[in-house]
Amino acid sequence: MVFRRKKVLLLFAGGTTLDARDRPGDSVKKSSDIRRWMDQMAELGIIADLDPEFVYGGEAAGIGAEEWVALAQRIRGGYRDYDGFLVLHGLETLPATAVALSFMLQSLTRPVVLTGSPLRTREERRADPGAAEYRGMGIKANLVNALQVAIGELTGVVVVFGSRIIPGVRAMFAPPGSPHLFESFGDAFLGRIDLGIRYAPPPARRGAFRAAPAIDTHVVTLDIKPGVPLELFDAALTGRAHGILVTLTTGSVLPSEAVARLKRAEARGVPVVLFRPGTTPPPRESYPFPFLTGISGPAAVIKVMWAIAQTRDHRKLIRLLQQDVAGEFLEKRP
Amino acid sequence: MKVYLYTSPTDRRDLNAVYARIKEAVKQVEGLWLSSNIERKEVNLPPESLTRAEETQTPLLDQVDAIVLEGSTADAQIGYLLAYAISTGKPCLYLFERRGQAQLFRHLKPAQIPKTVRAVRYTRATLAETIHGFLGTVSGIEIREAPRIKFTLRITKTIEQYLGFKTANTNLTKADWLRGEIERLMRDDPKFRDFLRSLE
Repeated sequence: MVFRRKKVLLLFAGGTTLDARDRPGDSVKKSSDIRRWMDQMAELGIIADLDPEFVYGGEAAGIGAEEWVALAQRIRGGYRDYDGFLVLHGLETLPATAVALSFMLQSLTRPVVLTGSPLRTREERRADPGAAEYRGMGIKANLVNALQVAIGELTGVVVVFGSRIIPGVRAMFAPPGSPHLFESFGDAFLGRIDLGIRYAPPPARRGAFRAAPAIDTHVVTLDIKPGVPLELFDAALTGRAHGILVTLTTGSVLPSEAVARLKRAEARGVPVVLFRPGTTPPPRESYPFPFLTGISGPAAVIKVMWAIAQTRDHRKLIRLLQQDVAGEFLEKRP
Repeated sequence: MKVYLYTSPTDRRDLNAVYARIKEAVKQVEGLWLSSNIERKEVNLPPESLTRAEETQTPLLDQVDAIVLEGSTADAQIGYLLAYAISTGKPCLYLFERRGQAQLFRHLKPAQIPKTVRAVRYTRATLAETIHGFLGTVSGIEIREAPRIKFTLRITKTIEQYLGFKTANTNLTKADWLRGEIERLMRDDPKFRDFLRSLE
């Protein structure tokens, strides 16, 4: 039996530290580090033919719209040439990138896998000596697992870490005390890793692959609590925001004066969206703004960022926000 | 000792027969937990290993002590398990047929293959010995083939006295002592080693 060796584009965007001693070749901070790093992970070549490319080498906290767009455009550009894509990424912002790529790359017919090293470089430890160290499985085994998923049967953006395979759009950090680093909103998992990769039945894919890599991160998020003067929000409401997302958690309030200020911002062309964690929507007549619910917090913010970059038409924007674009909602929607 | 044995699914009768012999050879090791894709229940690990994997949220492969692969046919899972063994330093025995090549190793330079990973071209005659030798190295104890063939031998009274004399105050049975003597003769017999090689 002959099986075809698969080809994977390996994108370096941080999260590459192989050893906490951080010797030359242990992490990829610039393009010229790649060769030594690949020599240390030669076993990846058993699984697939890899084309490595450098995208970003700074701290994970610095990753944002520029890197999301660069990754999405590179994947779109290489879509016909590769069987899968593996993105190495700093863990601090990995879920946000996974969510962003899920909106930017729709109906994928190939896997786009994100993973990263839990080890921190010397600079990172110096910058934040108090941060907890993840003590789970080794990074090299994690990379092997992620690459095996990148040549496998899954399609779409996924996060592989530890023993879990998580849909990218549902990826979030697990709460403190959990043995996991990441969890999936709504406990939706695409598989697990035990003695091999075990896939769950995949969700149905709709339509052909579509790339929409534009994103507008000029979105301000508000969580108005009782007693906080509304004047403090004026800078956000009258400033340069291109969108406003108001979170209504337990204990949040939306007094009529706040509604009035938000209506004024909307009248100036700044879309206002309400977000309520959980699945119970507030009564429609109380809040004259579109709202999102049944979606994770990170996905709500990034969806607004992505949606306002796709259209400025208010009606089209509302439709886009309430439509299931990447499997982000707990309940099925058209 | 916890071992994971993987063999590629195949229609080849000869390979399936080899897989059965590999499984048999591995199972001869006392106190071994064997997980395998050719067992009805693939996962067979002690409860504490399952608990540890659950608590640390690490793959079950982390809990096994050694991996045995039959790599004569190309299979993505074989490549994955081999890469996993190399990346984690987990002892791995990669078996391939005498006419075959260790194809997957061509992607690595010799210096990139850790000593914990062994690629061995096997024959029917050497299969059990190869597997026991590897598992013995992993466990740190010598593993001996289990005697399965019944053999009746009439002896004289004097020979019986001698066997009793040699096994007195030992933990050996007379049969154990006789087997040990025959194995010693086998090890020291170069003509027998040549004979085994001629079977390859």
